[in-house]
Amino acid sequence: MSPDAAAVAAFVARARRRRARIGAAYGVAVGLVLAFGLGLAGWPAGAWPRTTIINAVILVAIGNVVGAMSMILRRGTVADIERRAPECRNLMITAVELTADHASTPEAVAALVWQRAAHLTEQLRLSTVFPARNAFVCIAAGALLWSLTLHHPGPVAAHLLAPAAAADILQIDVTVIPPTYAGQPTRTLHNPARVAALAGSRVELDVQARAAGVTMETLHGTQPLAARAAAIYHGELVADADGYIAFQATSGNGHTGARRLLGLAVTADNPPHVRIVLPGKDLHLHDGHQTITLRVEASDDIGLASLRLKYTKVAGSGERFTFTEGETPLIIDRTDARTWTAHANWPLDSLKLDQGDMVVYRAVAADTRPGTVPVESDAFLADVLEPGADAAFGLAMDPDEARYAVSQQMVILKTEHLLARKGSMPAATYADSAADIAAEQRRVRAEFVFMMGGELGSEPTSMSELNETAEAEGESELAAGRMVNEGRDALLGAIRFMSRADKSLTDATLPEALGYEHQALTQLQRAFSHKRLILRALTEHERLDLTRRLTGALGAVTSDVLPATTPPVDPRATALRRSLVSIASLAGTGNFAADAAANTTVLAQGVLTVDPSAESLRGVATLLTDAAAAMHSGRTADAHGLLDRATTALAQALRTDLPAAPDATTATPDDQLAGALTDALRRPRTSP
Amino acid sequence: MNGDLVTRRALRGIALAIAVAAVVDPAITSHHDSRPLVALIATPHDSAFAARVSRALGGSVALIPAPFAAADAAVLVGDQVPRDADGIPAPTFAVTDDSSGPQLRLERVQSPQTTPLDARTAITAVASAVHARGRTVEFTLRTGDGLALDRVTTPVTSDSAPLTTTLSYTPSTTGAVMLDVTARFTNDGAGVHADRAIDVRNVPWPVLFFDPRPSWQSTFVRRAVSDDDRFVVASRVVTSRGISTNEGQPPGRLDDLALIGQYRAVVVGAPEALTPADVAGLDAFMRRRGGSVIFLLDQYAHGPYEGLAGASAWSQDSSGTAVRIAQTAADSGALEATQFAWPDPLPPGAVALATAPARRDSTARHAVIWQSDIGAGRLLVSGAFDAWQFRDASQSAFNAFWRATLARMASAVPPPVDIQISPSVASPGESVAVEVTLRGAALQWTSVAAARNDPVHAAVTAHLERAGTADSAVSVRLWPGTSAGEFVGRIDAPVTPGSWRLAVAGDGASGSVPLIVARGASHPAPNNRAALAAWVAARGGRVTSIGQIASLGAAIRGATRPAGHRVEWHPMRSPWWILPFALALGGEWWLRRRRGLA
Repeated sequence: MSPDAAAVAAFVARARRRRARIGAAYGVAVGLVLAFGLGLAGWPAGAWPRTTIINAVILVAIGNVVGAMSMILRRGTVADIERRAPECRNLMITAVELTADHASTPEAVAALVWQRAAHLTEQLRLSTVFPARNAFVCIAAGALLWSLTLHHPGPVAAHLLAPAAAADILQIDVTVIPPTYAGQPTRTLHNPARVAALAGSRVELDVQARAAGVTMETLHGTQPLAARAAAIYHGELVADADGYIAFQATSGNGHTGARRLLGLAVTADNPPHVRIVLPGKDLHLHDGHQTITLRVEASDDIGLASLRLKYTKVAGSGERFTFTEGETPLIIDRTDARTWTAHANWPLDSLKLDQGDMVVYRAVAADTRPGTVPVESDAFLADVLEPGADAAFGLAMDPDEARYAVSQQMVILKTEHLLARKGSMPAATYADSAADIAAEQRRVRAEFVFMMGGELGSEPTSMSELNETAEAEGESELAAGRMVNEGRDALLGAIRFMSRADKSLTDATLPEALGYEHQALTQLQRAFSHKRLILRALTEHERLDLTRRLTGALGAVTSDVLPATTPPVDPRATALRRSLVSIASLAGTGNFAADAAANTTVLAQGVLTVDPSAESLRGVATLLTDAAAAMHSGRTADAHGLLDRATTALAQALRTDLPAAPDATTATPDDQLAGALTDALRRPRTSP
Repeated sequence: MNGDLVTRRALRGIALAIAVAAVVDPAITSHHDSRPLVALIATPHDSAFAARVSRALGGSVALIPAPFAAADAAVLVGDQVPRDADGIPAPTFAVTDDSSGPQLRLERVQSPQTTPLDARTAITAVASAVHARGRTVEFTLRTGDGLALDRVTTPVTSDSAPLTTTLSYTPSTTGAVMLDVTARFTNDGAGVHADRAIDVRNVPWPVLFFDPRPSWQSTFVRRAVSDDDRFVVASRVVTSRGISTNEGQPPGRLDDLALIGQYRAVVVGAPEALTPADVAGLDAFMRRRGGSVIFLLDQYAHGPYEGLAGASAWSQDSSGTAVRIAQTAADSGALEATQFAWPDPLPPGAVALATAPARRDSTARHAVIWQSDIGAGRLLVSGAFDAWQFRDASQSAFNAFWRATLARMASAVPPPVDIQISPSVASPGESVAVEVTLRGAALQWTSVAAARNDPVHAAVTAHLERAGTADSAVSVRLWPGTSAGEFVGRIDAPVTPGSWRLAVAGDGASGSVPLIVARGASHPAPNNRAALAAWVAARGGRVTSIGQIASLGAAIRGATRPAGHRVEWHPMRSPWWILPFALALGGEWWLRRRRGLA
């Protein structure tokens, strides 16, 4: 091969290598663009940013090899040179062909061609013929695009495309994790219309959305969901009360998408139910050496944890009582985790009951819920009668009245115990226990209020004054004149001291409460000493003259003018009626407006807010939510059908709150005729 | 030769005869029979059926598909007697559908003309289904927007028993509302419709409580009613001589009709303390205002009120044992009382509303709460003395009973201007009947006034206006009706669809009712075949089923005897006479020429 031919061949070889390198550069750029595209789609989901980088490296490498190989495998480098450098005038092609086969060509001609071609190659610059600038620009652009994926975790599309597209919630996965003690399985719901959960359950929410952010709204407020993986937002809440969960997606430019609404139905963990079946009544014993046969039943909606029988021995007489608390063993038969029965033969010998003593006993059951307050059954008492008491039973102290005194004494006893344990208790527990005693104090007070015939003002202004308006609720006693006796005054005093004790217990000021409790007990015992007066109605000649009930100067008496009573507005009916009007205005249009779906979701939320615990309203909200989804996806006919069903259900819910309208078919001539007939029938008949 | 002469003379004679006849121009008169002109009348609901009838009759008569008074006869399609016979010529024939397939008919839809906002209103629909035993009929109540408020499904058990159902309308806003009741076989077709207009009002009923002495019974009835926003309560409790406790602005006495006439109902606690003047005032309130009076007894004592109650004797039960007092016309809860009284016997014309079982005979019951008509008004007497002591809603329906009772009593009082229109939803141009009753004038016409031949003077003005725009009002002429204070009229529904109101003023008061104009308004179609047969028979026609329609054309022609018309004909004025005239003259000339004579 002549030197000129060798020079031409070397030039072509260099051109081929440069071409392959440029192809590889374009391959790299394509790889970067592909990596960006996958980032847009949010694939693959994994730990950011390592996955993104590995993804890009792989794609760039593949692009590099493919680009280079495509150039290498693609023939026509010389033709490409001729195309890019027109001044060659096919000289390079001729020279290369002669190099490959010049047997049929005269040597001189071939040498001349090679010489001129070699001369031409000296003048050509490969960087001009095959410029690499565009390839590097493409690499830079690809790298720039791909780098965007490094700046935003999660779906790049959500960040880059969201401003152009509306934010949208694609899918909602709800995981309901019941409290551990319930022993119930975890449930996962996919796009549910409503969520039912046991109180205390943890509700995990995974929302897949095409959005820059998603917020979650409940009755407690609004909070943003945390972005977890690609296009996935996560939130949690504790199911504590009926309500709703509304999701709102927001795009990068602040535009909000359609709301998604889930009804939240919370099933409360009811306290156990416990009762003493046997003997199931108060016992009056002749001595304290008898055995009581007990049978106790307890049940719970989740599961029972314990069942015990507690008693309080009350010994003493007059105003001096001694209280001794204790517990007696029970033989428990567990039908299942939720239903227990227990029985026992309880010998009273161990209590050493004397004549006049009594024992108050009740069953106590607790369920498996942590921190639960045990539930007590109705308390029964067994008292050992005084000698001769049964012979003159009519003169004995009424057991009910004794129980009233015992109840107040129990409040005092519990207050004293709590006060003694104050130092060893956390402040919160102390306050809670005081509140429990306050509740018991209110129960005791309620018994006396009930006995007095009605409610009394909870905040009496004076121990010696009666509020006529409040007392009027006990009008039957007023009419019968029962309010004017000392026994009733003492009872009123006891009730008012109980009110003050209740307030002090609620404030956790137990020393003050104890004082009021003792005063209440004193008043109570005083009242019972006048019991004959309490329950006695006035005789006929003592009957009060109601026309002379007013006091003061007669000349100062004037008529009383009260403002007209304004009936209370029923907020539920008003809200439901407003919702009905809103649905009608929504459905009145053939084609829904752009914001109809959002308005429908807000409407559903409004319906749920009226009464989250109402099953009927939850159904209405579900229908409205489905209608909103149908509007959003352009299914107008479906949306109209769902709105129609929602209207029917809402009208039905509203109907239950309203009274029936009377049949208002009036006709004056008919009424006249009926009246004339009555007149004719009543007219005395005269004999013909 | 003689033949030619005869021919020539004959031709000449013909030509001459034609010429003479043309100069004389004789006229010929003839009689022709024409096809009878028949008006075909059908409702939009029967339009398909009307098309069948039209095709069947098309050749034998000339049909006009509308009421046309100048037609020779009319054919009604369907089995409904037309609301307005004006413009329908006689004789009138009817064609009914006798197909054997399932047929559903909405016979009647009953609803009040007005209803309070805070109540659910019962809409009663009655349908009949034939050839449909075993199927189910779905009744749907829709608003004018097309939204379904209530649905009830009823099985069809026989072809004869009507299907009666009650739908509930729950108002959502005040104003005129168009309701559509649809009945259809389940999952089959569009069904039959009927439209009604209902006026939802949020105007509470004024009720006066008047206690001549304090009464617990009246107090707790008042409390029950005061909590219901359908009522606005005023009360006066006389607590001592000249001293009273008033709520609102009650009148000081009951003998002034102008003062108590503003109330719809007067509730009297302790009625035995009423004065004769008070009782007279209440009597006038019932007779001249159509008002409702309720006596709440808490003890039995004599007094002037007994004259109104009309009981000749009373019995009491004061055993102290609580007894349930059950309502007679409702399945709702009962009252309880330990002391009660009842009239023995029940006054003539009185109706028991709640009864207590007799202690001696468990099958007998005493009317403890009862009602009687007095004039145009009504009196209710409660003898449950201490029912107020049993107010626990779980045991006694005390509050619910008195709310419902007061609502019924208050709503039964006729308004000062009572307006009834039919139909309340009409198609554009449809005839609407109007009936107005002025309460004052109507109740002024008593038997005493009639005996004295006293005239009753009353005048009304009425106009129809588009709802919300009084400037488009159109006067409506009303004519005196058949009784005092009654006016009747008929209007054509406006051509513009929408909500209209017919406002009427008279006797110092005014009132209005809605009229909704909607294209294609539907009305109930009761089965009136018997009435239709009588009606068309009275108009010289008969009822024909579609299967026998072939004979209807002949029947119409026979009944109408279409009058023939006289036609005058001038035969010589026809230009065709030129041809025989020219032929005759030409032939005569040709014969003469052939003989050499010309």
